[in-house]
Amino acid sequence: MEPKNDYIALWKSFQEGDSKALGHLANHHYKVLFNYATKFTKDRELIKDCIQDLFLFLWDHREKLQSSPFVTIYLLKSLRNNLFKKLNQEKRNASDDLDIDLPFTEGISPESELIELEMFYENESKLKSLLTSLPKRQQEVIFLKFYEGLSIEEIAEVMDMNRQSVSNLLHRAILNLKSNWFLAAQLFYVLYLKA
Amino acid sequence: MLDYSQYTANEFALDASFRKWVLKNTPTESIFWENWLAQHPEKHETIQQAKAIIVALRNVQEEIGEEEIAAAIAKIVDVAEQRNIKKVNFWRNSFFQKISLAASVLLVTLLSYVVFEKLSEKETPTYSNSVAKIAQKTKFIEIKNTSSTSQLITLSDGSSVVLQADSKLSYPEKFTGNTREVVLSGEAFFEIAKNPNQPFFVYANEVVAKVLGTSFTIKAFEDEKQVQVFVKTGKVSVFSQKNVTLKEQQVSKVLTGLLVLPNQQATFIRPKWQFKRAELTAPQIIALPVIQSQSFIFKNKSVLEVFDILENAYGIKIEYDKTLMASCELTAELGDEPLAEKIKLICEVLEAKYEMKDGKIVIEGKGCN
Repeated sequence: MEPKNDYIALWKSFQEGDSKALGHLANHHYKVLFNYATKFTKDRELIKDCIQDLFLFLWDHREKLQSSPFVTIYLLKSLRNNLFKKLNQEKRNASDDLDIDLPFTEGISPESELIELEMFYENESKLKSLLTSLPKRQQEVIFLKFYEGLSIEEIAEVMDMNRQSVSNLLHRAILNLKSNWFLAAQLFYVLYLKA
Repeated sequence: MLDYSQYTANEFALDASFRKWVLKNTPTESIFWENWLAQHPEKHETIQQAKAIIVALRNVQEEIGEEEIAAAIAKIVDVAEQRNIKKVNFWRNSFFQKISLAASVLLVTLLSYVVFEKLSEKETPTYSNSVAKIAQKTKFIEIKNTSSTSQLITLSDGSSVVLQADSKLSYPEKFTGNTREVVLSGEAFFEIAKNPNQPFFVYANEVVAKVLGTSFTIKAFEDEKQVQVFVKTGKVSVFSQKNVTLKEQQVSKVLTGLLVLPNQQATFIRPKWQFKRAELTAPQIIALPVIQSQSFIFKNKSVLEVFDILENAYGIKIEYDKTLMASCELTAELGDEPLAEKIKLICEVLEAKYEMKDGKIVIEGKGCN
């Protein structure tokens, strides 16, 4: 994280039309935007185009901007909207796995889902394949929470959902990961013993 | 402050502040957690475990390497530089230079305004002037869209106009003579019925757009500094109302002037009376009505979905028996035909009948097996 003053200076030069400042700001946010976009499409060039459009849009409008738009949540949200518009088709598919919002189990606070996550760090490649097998929106919520470290409120803002639905979605995503993990582990165990 | 001393590794991993520390190492969080850890040395292992969970979950979601990022950033900076107009130099001047420059710009503007007013004492080409001029010939209808949604207008030649909010369109009850002429103020998407013998003209503030049969959007709000034409299909020729060749243009059956092609836009800078032509950029497309980028090519698509797309694009209501039509699929490559034409083609395939009345379309068919 850069010191605040540097950031303000960068933002100021950006607004004055310094393309290097644009480069620095874009560099600061590029990775998270790209990784986030892969939750919606595998088309890398399309993702790059969308991110480029987003930064150039800010560049073109830099003089009208009142405050810095280089805020991760704002950028994620804009990119998400742009991608959805471009992927009209895909959006329809995504709504297929719009999991129905189950009523939230009472008594469990959203931040303390008592789910064992320990197993996850032991085998990254297995974890990766499990993650990609989740419905798109569950992948998205896992990304926002564990890659970008956003809070439930912030995720709700990006995904345009209410807090409760985000909690439910996250809860289901982690449960899904966990149950699949056990399945995979059991399968492995059985195969290993029989071999 | 939360009591973290009873937390398990899972609970730490799910804690927003803890994640922020591990992932971002933000100053507030790192001070807090380093202190906390110093006070709770017994939690060292739990914390390590929680960190490992978060790091694993982050690592498996890395999809792009530093080199690829650097290349993408270089491209962004490159394009940005090309777009960077001379503004940079201007702002780098001293305050004094800015003041004197501003003063002289003001003076020149004032002078030229006075001179311009004298020279062109005649009418400026506003919406009402254009209507007054053109409506002399035949009876005109004016539609004002004061709602917040778009409104479909079907012209007497079958052309569709999707009029956006806060916009108005004047058009003759019937097109007669050698030309088809309408006047727009605001924003609208046009799909013009093909008729090379009767060119179609849109008067939008100072700009005239001439087409033979295509689809495009015009943005011409009275209080904006520019008039924009965005082409979806076909060719649109644009020129200003002051253009000396306007008269010739009106008779000519070919397209001359500044030609705008699909995925291009022409911007007319009103104070300068100047056109600029450029490729359409993605943010612009996003800002335009859905129909500008909506494809009407359908492959084995459910009719319900097709009607959905049409309703959405044209802002109209299509009434039909959903259960009867649910099994129907459509494969069709539709393009810039006006809506009525599209509906006609679809109904031919479905062997259905249709009727257009007061802003909605009623379709009656037998369904499919």
